[in-house]
Amino acid sequence: MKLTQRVSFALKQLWREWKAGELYILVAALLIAISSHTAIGFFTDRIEKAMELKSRDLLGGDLIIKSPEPVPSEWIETAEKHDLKIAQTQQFSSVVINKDVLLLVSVKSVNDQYPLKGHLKVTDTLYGSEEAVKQGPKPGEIWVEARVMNALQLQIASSLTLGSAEFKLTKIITQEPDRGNFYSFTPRVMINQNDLQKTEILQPGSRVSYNYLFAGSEADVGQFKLWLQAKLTPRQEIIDLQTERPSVSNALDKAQQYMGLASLLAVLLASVAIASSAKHYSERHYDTSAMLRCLGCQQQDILAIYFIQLTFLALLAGCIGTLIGWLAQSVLVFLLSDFLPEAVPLPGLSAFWSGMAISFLVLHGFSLPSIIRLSTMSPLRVLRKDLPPMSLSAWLVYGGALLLVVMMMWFYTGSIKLTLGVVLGVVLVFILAALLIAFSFWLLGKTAHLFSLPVRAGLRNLLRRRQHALGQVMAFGLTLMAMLVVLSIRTELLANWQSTLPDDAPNYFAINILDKNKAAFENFLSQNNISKNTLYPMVRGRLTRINGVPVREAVSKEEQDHESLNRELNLTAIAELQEDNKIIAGSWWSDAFDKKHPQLSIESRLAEKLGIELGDQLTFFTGYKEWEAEVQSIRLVKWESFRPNFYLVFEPGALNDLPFTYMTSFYLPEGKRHSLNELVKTFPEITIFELDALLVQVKTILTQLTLAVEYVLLFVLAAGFSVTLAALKASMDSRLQEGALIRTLGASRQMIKRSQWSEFAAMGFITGIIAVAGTELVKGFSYYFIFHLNYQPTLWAWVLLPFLTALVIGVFGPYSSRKILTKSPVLVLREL
Amino acid sequence: MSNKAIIEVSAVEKTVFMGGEPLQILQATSMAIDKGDSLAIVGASGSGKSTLLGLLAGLDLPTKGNIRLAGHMITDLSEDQRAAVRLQHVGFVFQSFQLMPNLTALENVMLPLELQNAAEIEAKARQILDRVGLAARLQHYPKQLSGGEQQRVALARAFITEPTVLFADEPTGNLDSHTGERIADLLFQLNQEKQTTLVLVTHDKKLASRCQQLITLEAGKIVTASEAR
Repeated sequence: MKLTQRVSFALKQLWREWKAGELYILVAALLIAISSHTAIGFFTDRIEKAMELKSRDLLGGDLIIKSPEPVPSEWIETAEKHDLKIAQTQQFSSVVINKDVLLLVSVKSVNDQYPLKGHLKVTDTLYGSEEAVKQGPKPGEIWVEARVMNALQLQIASSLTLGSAEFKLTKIITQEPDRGNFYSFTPRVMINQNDLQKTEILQPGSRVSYNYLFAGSEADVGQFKLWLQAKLTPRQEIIDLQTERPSVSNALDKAQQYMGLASLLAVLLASVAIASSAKHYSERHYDTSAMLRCLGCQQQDILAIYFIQLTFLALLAGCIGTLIGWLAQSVLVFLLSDFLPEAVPLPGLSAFWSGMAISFLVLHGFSLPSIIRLSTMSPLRVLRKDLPPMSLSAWLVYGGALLLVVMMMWFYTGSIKLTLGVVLGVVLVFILAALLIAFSFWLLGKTAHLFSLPVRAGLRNLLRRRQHALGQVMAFGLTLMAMLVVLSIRTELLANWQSTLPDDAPNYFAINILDKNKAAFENFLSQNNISKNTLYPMVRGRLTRINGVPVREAVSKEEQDHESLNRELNLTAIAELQEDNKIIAGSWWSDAFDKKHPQLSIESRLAEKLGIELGDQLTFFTGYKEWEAEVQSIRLVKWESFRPNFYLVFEPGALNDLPFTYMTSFYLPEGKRHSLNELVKTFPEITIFELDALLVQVKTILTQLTLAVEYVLLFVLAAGFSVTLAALKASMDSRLQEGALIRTLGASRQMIKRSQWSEFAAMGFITGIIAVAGTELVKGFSYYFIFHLNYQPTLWAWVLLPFLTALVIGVFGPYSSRKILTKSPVLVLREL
Repeated sequence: MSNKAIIEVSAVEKTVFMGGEPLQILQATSMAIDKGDSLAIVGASGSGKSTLLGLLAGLDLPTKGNIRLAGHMITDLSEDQRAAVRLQHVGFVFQSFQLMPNLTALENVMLPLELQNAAEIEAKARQILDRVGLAARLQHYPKQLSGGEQQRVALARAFITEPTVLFADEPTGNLDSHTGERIADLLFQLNQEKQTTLVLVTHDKKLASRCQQLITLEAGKIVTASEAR
């Protein structure tokens, strides 16, 4: 046959198969798989883009250069050539003066383009309602944070001195997009860049950070960044989403991993559905193929004809599936419009391509083995019905397809750990499932005689179709497992986030609480029914040496400018490990320790950056003296908990000789804001700062993530259901035939009903066991290695689930094959 | 052997292995069938009738011996080359009809011509379906047709390519005697019209007696070979 003849014959045949209803299940399975995969792809793409926008807001731009001196004008010109918007800020420490009272502040001078991204929010009255503004202060104006107002007893329109210049206070800053380290202790004041010179503060050698914020299209920013990287000096750094992610990044990462996992499982489910439908299809076409060979088709022709049909199907289903996926995500975005940012960016094309790729990969990968078998069908089968098609190394072909899918998943999730986790889980589940099923069948065979006749008949049916039942239980078990994994990880993630940010998460920090005022302060809070956290003693100190070597020499070249070396660190001493901390090396305070030096616990990321290990001697300089401590443990700290947390924690009493104050955080509901003024008046030395705006931002993002995660779950559930349906349909022919035969032999409908129920229920029970075992396996692995969550087996599932699946499949199975009871046996036997 | 012979069989044997033991299902067989003749192969179940038919049609290869079909030494050809010979020269009719369940009557009949990439396929298919009396059932699927109707579709499919040789395996075996007789009538009529050589395997003595030649197989061996008429 020539190629054109093959194509025309293949398409004609395909159309005939379609007309005859032969392809519905295969195409439906493929469509459901592709559309759920792409809907998740498109939707997560959009959500990710929206998240990224939000994150850029928190960053203040798409890319930021931090430099200790002004950058060459060539850089700015190049940025302009790349059509980037540019804003400039300068940051330095100085003091502001009001009526002879001095306050150390962090000054930020901004030009008129600032802010590029995100919102600068201000208010006219202390703790009053805020408004978003598009520009910073005008020349001659100064804006300050609330705590400056409190510390200097200022009013709006007060006059404030900074360096040699006088400013008029016009606004109170409540939110600043690129505030970065919101734990910073010096309060912010903001002036216009044009006033900078007037202050005469910046002199040669002044310590100042020149920040350049850039915004533009992804391509332009990317090109500029590439150009820039070669020009940077070691003292300059680029900050963008890759280098610095806001404090929600942890949650965002987990959500992305989760969505990756969900889409990955959708692909796995698709593969199961396609493989089962394709196998069913090919089994129904043994005779057709033999007849075609008989009529003169060559082996190559048959292979080509089916291959062309598959390719056409993949192309068509790929297009329609991605279109449905696109529509589904549009509806989703529409439904969620209240929760999503105003402008959700349109999805990229990547989901379309991956949908297409998935369509080809799963359809060809999982159908080809069946198709190849069809082409090897001997024409002699037309005379001898029992002649099976030549068997071929299915392991090789399916193994190849699986490998491809794994690679695709890896590409899609970007996490080899995640992919391998799932694959390993699936492989283990396969082995475990085969063993378990074999054992269950053996057990059923041994105990079948104990049951009544209809049940016994059902169980024997199941055992007779052992091979087939094994495949079906695998399919059900895997599907259910996939859904359970996704469901339980979702539940766990949400619980985790909710515990991260409960409704009463602390929204205020108080520092500088004097030892003598500690009791009075606590008293004040309890009198006003304000819940508070522990009061932590706090000393500020510099890390000067590691094992006797000056820090700058002791750390690697890249880390010599690490921020922890350039500023005083907050040190505390506590007896009990904080609940959001976890020891990952060493141990918490032990009495057995040789107390030559006080013991300390260091935060894991800092330890890693500075190359500090257990047992290292660290030297600190606090105010007037140098002292040493020894690293006793390394801690993982959940910074996003919004509770006070410290890089360096010492054993109780270690800081007693040093001048310390206390710090704490507390939650103040909206209605009690007025107590703040009273608090500040009663304890003028205390500095209060507010995290409300940031908390709201973080909470919004978490709400979106939660919603996204829940909807993604819906898609996976739908995909899972369709797979189950496909698997049930695939075994319909033989069930119908057997049912019809039994009926002609005189079995009552009641008897058939009961035997069917027992067969499906037994299958469901084994499915439940398989699913629950597989789920625990995959969950354990992913919790431990990927999500770093504590894993606890869900005991109730072990008990409840097998019964539940027995019930569901026991009801659904007979329902889906009710034709056995309703259709005339004569008709059934004639049609098959 | 005759010069007119369309099928020539010389010393053909077939041995299969069952559970490691050789089992000869066809003993040394030689015969010839002339163009336009009809041959009936009869014998009890398991006597090797279908095996011989499969070998004659090139669906299977003998263990020993040669078969020439329509001028091609098919025992020297690969399966794909034999397929090409079948495409050009051979038609089939089976006891179980072997219609494609997902194709309508019309589509089933069109199929062989489509494989040959012939012209005016649909018109020819309609014409021959009309000839077998199924003009009103063109768009019906096999499961919507009676047994006799299905076999008539199979006959139409077999004759539409005007094959040199038609092989029929128990063509009336699945039909009641009345319908079987009508199908047999149709088969012989078409055979005459199209000048086809007919080789049929049957249990039905009446049907066998309508053929010009008859061979009887017993345990893989030709026991009688005679002119039936």
